[in-house]
Amino acid sequence: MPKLPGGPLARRPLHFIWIADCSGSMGYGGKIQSLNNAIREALPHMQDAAAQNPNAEVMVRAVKFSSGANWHVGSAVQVDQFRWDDLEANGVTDMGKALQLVAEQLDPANMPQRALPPVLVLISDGHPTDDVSAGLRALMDQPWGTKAVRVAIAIGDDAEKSVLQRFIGHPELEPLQANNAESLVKFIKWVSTAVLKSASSPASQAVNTDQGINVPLPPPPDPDVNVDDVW
Amino acid sequence: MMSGEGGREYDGMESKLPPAQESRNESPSCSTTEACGWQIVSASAPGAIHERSGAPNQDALCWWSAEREKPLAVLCVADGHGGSEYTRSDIGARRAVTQTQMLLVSEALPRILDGSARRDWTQFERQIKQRLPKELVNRWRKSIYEHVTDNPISEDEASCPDEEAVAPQQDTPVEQRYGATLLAALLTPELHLYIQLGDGDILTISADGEVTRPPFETDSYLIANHTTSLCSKDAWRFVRIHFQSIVDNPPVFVMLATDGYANSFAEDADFEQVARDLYTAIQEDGPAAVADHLPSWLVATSKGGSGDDISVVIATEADRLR
Repeated sequence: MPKLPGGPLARRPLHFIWIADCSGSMGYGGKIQSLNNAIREALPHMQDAAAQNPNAEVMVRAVKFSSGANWHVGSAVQVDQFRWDDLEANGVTDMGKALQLVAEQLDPANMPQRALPPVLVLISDGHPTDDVSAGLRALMDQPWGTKAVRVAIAIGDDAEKSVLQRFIGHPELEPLQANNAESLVKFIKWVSTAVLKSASSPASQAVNTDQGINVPLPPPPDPDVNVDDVW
Repeated sequence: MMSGEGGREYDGMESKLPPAQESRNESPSCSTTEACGWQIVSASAPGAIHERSGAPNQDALCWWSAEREKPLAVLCVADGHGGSEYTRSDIGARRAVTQTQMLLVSEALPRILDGSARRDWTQFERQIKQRLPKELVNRWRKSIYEHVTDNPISEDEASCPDEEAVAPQQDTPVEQRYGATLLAALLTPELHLYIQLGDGDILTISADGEVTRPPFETDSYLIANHTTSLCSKDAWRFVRIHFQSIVDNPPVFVMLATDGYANSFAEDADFEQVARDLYTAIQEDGPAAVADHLPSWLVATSKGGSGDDISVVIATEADRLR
């Protein structure tokens, strides 16, 4: 009698990718440092949220884009090992190139068949300076890109929300508007915990139904109205 | 016509069918039979994540087998979606397996037993592939509409008691609330009929030990927890059917499993090893011993793997047992 039928057991991988704008404008008003602080502050909460579901193996990485795009954290790191190194602001806003990088990583050849829906979080304060449509097409051409949970955070009023809305791809889910450091912290914590928990559920979603969003998400927090907008 | 959940009046055809055994609702976690040419073992375990959240097991299974007659069996497994929109998917899964079992036993099996299928094999296969998907989906829809008529949806209805769960939309369509996938197999000496709608796995082992799957067309929707479903629009289009004529190298072991089982392994080969290990255990220790262990194996697999509900129905050719 076998001890347990089958080969070694494995948790289901969940890939979480930060896609962060590091253009020069992120240096104004302390936006880039607020983003660094928010992700760093949210990390313990993210690790707690992941620990509550030991059946999902949360793997984190990050892309940064300014003049070009690069992996800030290139190899997927288990969330409990993940550390955030500060981003620095300079250059333009090559968002399309960043989405191309993510699309390459979501190629079925790089994704385990039994992975949970990836979570992609796009954060930007400005207007794309490259061919963002090409990047969006590359992302949405990937089945894992189409089925990913895509959340966008607009930092300040100058962010091009129409592009962020196209990235999200669902009219019922809008970009989160962060006009100050406090609201940015709230939103980053929300995607790091509530969104992560929703995406790590094994619950199936039926296709060809009226459901629009890939994974039902809890409502996002309200931005802090008691603090003067600073961005 | 048939009526009622788990009814046994198979459209008036029951008198033409051999005496049979069926899985019983009162022992949902594990059951076995040794009464026919197929030894059947089944079990269903709530997922580790559902145990933590308080959600019910949203899988369902049932089987039917002939007593002391030809080796005839029907195996069915369904997986209720379980997400926040699918507040009654456990019921939808139960309706799926009972309706499918009744359809196969009452309509497909008599045509095989009376020889009409064998007389015009091509026509039989064509008719089954044309009619069965629509009939299967229609019966399921009729059944859930009967259920919702008797049990109206309440305003605060939720799929699980987890306070952090996302509340379903009030205008969620009825079909969606009951959404489930489906696997089924009809096993006869002449042919095996395999049916799949959505995710889940059907594995067979041949007499020479090869593990295979029915060669269904690929369902490109099965990615990232998304699946075709009984509640999908035009769901019948997604029903995949495979006929296997029983000739030289017939399956001696057939296993139907909800996707929580395969999702507990990183590689296909590790999951296929489940079939080999279970077949070996049934051969060496007997179906009753395996039935005793199966629920705890499923619980352990869910805990260390996918966290999802796991249900499995296994049929092993009795002649293969030592």
